[in-house]
Amino acid sequence: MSKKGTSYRLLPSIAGGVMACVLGVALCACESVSCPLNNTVESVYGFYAALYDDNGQLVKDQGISIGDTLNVTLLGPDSIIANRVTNQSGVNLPVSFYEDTDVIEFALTDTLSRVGRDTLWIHKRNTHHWDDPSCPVHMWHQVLGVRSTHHLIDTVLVTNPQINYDGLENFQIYFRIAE
Amino acid sequence: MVSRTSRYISALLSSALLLLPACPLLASTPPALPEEQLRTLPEGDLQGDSIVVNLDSTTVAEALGQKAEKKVHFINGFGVGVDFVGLVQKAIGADWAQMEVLARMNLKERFFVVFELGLGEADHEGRDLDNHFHVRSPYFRLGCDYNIRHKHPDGNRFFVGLRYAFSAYKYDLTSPTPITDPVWGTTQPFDLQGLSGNAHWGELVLGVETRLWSIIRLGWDMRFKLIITQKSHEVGVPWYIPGLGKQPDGIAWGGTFKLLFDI
Repeated sequence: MSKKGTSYRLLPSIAGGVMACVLGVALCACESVSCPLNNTVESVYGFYAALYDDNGQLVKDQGISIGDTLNVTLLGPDSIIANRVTNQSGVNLPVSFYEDTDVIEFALTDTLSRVGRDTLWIHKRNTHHWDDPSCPVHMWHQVLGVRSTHHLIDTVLVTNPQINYDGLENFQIYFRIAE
Repeated sequence: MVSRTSRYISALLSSALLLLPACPLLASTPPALPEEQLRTLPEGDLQGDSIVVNLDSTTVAEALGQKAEKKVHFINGFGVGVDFVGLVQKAIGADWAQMEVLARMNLKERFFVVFELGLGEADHEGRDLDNHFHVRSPYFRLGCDYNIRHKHPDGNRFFVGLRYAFSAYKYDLTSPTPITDPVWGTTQPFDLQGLSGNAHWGELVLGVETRLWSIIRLGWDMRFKLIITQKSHEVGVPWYIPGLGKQPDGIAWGGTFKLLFDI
């Protein structure tokens, strides 16, 4: 091969290689970050009426709106996590980051100032979650079990054990209905 | 879907533009000598002396306008090489880089069975946050390239190829800022080390290569990468997968610039 032939092949080779390296660097430099807009992790509770069919089976998904005043307290730190909630068909509550069990008290006050209380125990597993180094780190939770007292609450069902920022309903609370 | 398709088309056009400098490499062989030049022989004091002219079969064939057929063996050689793009990324301190070497077997100058082995690493800090991602793990690729210009053994090659790739990695997610529970007020550090994951993906390769001198060759290619399966820790998918790159939506683009030695 002649020297001219060598340089003839070398120059475009080097030019292409430099462009390839530039492209490689550009690929490194390009960054698009898409943090989720809705990033509040909450447990979602829906309120339902405890109605049973003739076979004694719970009739599900009979949603209700509670007219009484609802206050929800997280026992332990004794923090009010929902205050004076009225005429709502559900409530969103924060979840502790690191506790294995959340103990929550639901207190309903009627128009005659009579108060009915029930306590829920939410057993869960906590995990970190992140989407990108440029996005905040969140705590996600997996519900392992739930139990409650039954003064006002008939049944509590876990409809979605994954507590994250998707906003999907996690618990259905079936309240006793006066006959 | 439409925006993703147009992004692919734009990438393919960019790849074609990258290959423009290689066009001179794809020039055809020069035309044969005209017949009049072949019949002119120098006259001299022959006086019975004989002129011995040594012409190899290549020269005779070219003079007669015929292509010289060089014998191509089934296993026509081996080659090794190193990629420069990852070295450049490492040198400039990019957030991620992958350094790799390759070995290949030349089958009849038409098919090239390729094995690539590399080390991918990333050290990335979040924008406006102090979350930190780190990974350093090997990967490998196995595949085959097809030389479209195998009928023109002039030292230049134009490849299309496929790869299967795999990487098993451990990555770290850390932050010097602990995470505080707003209700309970408790705080725990965010320091997750050695989270394991793996990924299988395929690559479509388009590249060119030229012979500089003797056994030394230069080549570069563009790659479209598509994840087949990926397994990550429940905390979240890694920001970078060794060998694959950053992979939003499970696809990635890449390329190499290689120095090769045919042995």
